[in-house]
Amino acid sequence: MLKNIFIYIMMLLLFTDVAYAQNLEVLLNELAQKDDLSVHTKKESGGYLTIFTRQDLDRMKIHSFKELIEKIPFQRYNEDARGLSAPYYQPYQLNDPSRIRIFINDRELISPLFGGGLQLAGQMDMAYIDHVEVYMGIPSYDISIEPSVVVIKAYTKTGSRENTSMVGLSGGSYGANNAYAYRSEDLKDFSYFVYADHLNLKRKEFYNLGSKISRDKDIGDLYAQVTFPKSRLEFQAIKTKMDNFIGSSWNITPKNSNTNFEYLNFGYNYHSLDKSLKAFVNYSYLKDRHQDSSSSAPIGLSKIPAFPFYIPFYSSSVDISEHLLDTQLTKKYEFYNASFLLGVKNRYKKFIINRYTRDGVDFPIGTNYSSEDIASIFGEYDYLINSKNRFILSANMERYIENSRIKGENVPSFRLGYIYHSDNFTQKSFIFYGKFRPTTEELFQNDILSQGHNQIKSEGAVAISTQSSWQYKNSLNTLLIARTYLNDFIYFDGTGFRNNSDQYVFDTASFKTVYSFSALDKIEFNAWVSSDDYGKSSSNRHEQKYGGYLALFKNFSKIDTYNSISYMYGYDGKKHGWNYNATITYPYSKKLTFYLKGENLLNKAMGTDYYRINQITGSKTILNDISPFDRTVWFGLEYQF
Amino acid sequence: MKVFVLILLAISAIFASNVEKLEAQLLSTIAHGLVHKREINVCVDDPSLKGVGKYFKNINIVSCGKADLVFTSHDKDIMQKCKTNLVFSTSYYLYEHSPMIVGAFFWQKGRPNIVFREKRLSHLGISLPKNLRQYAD
Repeated sequence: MLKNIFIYIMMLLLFTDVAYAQNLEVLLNELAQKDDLSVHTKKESGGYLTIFTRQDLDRMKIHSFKELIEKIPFQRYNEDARGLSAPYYQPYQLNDPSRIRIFINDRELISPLFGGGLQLAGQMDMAYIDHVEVYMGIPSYDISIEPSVVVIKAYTKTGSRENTSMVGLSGGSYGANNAYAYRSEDLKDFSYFVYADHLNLKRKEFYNLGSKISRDKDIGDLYAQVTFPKSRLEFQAIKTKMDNFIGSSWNITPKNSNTNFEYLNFGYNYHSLDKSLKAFVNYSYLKDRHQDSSSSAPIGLSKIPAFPFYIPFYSSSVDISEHLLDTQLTKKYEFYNASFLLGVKNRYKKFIINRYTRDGVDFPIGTNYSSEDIASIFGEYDYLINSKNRFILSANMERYIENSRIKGENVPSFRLGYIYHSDNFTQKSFIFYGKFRPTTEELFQNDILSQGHNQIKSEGAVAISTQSSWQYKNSLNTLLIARTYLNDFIYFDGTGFRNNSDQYVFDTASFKTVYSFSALDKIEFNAWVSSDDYGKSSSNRHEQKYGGYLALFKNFSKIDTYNSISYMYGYDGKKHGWNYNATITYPYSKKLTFYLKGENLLNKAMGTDYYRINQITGSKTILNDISPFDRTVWFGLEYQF
Repeated sequence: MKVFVLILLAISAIFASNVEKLEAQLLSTIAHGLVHKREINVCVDDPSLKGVGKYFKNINIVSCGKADLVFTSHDKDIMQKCKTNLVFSTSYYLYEHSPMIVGAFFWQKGRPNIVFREKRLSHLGISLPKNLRQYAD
């Protein structure tokens, strides 16, 4: 099967027109690429950058962010025990949002208690997104409020670039369906973009001991934006109902296990005309109602007060309200041959457990921890030695203020960069030193488990990295090499949270080449390796992971095609994983387009072993090799009014 | 002038020149499609297209009163002001709200587009060359 796909791709290449006519359509296609919105939003000094342009996303017919994760070096897409997007998922470990953060324009999607923007947005429809920038290697401090290894910045479509009304309908395997509509207009003094979407994400179901195991989701999304020459107003509302996949049941027999989630956001963004002064304020409200039960086993143990006994419970429910207020102000000063960016930012997180029950009876949470405030100041000095050499020094100081028994902390971090740029060659190098504060969820759970007696430390990180990029004829090539040291790694050992005393060392390298046959046709190839050392105490000290992808964008007169195969090796003892995706788009008329899209068509994408442990008998129930990508075929249409 | 600003401007100019060159090629194709003269006088009344002039061939930038063709992004009264019939818009909003305008170059659905208003062109006695006919409304 794989052989056939490679032969198919090679045949497509043979039919590629290397030379093409300089007609008006070609000029329009070239302009679409060269004046893509990403050209105006990207920050080259922000980190190692991968861009998915508007044309890329359109031609791939991307439905959700999860499809992009495997195109980012050193990343594997995965889902957690609740069926939510969590690339670093490990059984019984908490999600760590500091590894990948996701932004919609300047707003980070994050749950104040649970973190993890990808958990919220990973499987949502993204037809309102214009382009996506991915920054790797501890990006610049003005990009992310809290530090992160990878930042995904998704920029929404804008009224000035859309100028139309669209409707999109699609249906897929397992009865999944999606409908979206948007209206946008560039008026005399302002532009607007309004978008609504409903996604009924039916997915492959599994059964264990007669219990249905489902990760279906029903998501409604409303987004609105009004843009003025110097400011932008934004609003987003998301309502989700989802099944909790394997849930907490000790023998993986979930019953009535689901989550209702609501998200509301209001944002205001200001910038001066020369963009030297920028400011934003974003307020988000989240409501999470989660219930869990099992058809034939307990889901946890409750301690009986004043007795050294535990009794099992079979159902639980929790109702949580969360508030998030982000503010940021940056001012850029320009000197003779340098610039200095000064910024202040604040993030206030509030989370309230309205009610928590076990077997229908109210149960005390065991902690009063309910808020975190992060105040930070950062500076970035950008010095141009000459037209080819550039030096960047960034420093950031964060003050974490916690309530209840949690101790606050000052978290400094530094970033030193050097960029060499000539006509066809660019060399970027960065050194980062900093800390990753324990997440609010880790602090919350740790406080409950230790009753304030165990204070976990921040993880420390040092990263050294360099990337060469060179243009040769029609190809753009990049080679990235990095070494990262991680100290005090935080993990859950079954009884509480600990800092690992061993130092972790990650050696990573990635090579990518993009060869353009014309303004529309290109082939992309990426291969990466990650050699991980988890320290002498680890039972599985050394791990080698490999990955990459081959993708072809090819236009045949009216028909547009996209083929991509991703490869993964070495995760959690898994061998090879292949994920083949393809899209064929046919514009029936200027207004109506049909497309056919396949995901994981070989059904060989890397799977995950999910398990639960009976805490009394110690027996383990395993759900083997479940892929986060269902083998799915979508048929869709888009109509432009 | 500050060196830093100059270098940044130079870098952005390299990017801008690519875009401006393409925009100039597009506007030039439109102009030669609408005005069947070897040397064409055009007026560019759009601040975002100020840099395209240096890439024009056989096209002179003139004030709107002397222009064979006017490109405008905002002024719906430009026909009266400049006493010209041939106005091409660089804004979809203006094109939609000004039926006398002969066509538009604008962004729609995330990509640049060109459209010609065939009825208005017929009224003016202008027929589109073969390579532009597919863009007629």
